[in-house]
Amino acid sequence: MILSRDGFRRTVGHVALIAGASLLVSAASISVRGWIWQGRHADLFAIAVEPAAGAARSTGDAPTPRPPRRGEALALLRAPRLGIETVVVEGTDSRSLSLGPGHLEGSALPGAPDNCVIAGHRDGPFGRLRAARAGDVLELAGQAGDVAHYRVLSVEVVGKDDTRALAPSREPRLTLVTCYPFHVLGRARRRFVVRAARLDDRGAQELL
Amino acid sequence: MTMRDIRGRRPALPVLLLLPLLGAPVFAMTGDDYGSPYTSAGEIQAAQKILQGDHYLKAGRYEAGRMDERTIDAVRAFQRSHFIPDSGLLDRETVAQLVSHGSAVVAESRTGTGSGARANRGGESTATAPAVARGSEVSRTTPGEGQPGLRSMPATAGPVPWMTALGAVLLGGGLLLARRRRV
Repeated sequence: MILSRDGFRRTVGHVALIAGASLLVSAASISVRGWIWQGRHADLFAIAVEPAAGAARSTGDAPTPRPPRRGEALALLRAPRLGIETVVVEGTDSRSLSLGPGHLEGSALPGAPDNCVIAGHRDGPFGRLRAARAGDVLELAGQAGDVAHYRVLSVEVVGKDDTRALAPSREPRLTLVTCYPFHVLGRARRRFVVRAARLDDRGAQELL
Repeated sequence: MTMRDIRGRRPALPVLLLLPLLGAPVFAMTGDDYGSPYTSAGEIQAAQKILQGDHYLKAGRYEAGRMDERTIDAVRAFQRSHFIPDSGLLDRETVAQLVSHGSAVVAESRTGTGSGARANRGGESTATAPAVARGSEVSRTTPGEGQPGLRSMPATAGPVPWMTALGAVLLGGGLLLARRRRV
């Protein structure tokens, strides 16, 4: 049986239609899952967001550090000037990153005297990093009500194989990584890197 | 069965074939992956140094930068003592533990007990970490430009933009092709 031209075209049309629809549905479900996850975990950090409650909490028992597991909420990252407020997930595998910006496993925990690396999709909140500049203040709030403030040192674009920015450091640092350029479909060859150094509590007080 | 009958049913076939596509990308992303193993000579050498520092590997008994028998055995032993599946491969989980282990040693030597959280990152590794924090081992694992090779740049290109773009194009094209049935 030979398919007529018209029939063949219609079949191709149906295939394309269904493939397109399923792609859209998948993209939507990934986005929605991320939003739901973000909404669900934002409450964990409410203590840190409200300073009064945070102070009350921090006088109590010391936070018990527990190694976070991949896919768990780790911290709340805020950049007031850039309008970023997002929950950071532990891990930078594709599943973790679909939920929110991810903390590079093995890099320092927020506030620790080492390099804390957080990577995110440019189509998520990290897309706003393009407006970042030296001097911006970043906040990382943990679940125990502890808040670490960082000040942006530099903003740079590096090749995707240039991992110097991810290396451990002696000082408490925060390194945010996202794709560059910002508006290209598919894999990007370069990375947009924002480096920040932690402010001590006195510096943070003066600033806020 | 006439041609028309068959043609009337044809759309059902692609529908059935492509239905799994709906969920496939999501399922693929939900699976827990340990990541592709680290295989470059620099990464292997950096891992060997940490393993040597933790006495999983004896100095001079392995070939630097190559996954030889002894290195694989050492990786297996390290994985077993950290409750990671002992594949003998430098997968992401293993490397994460190795890296956190290496820096935990440094952190403790630098600040005393200062970074409990940092050290705890490695889980069970805290038990053995202090034992290693002595002598030349410490200076060897000092962070900085020394071992950036172990951390690989995360892939930050999300699937959502291209999926949306491709989906929209296919949907539009499909609509055009499928609609003009009565010429």
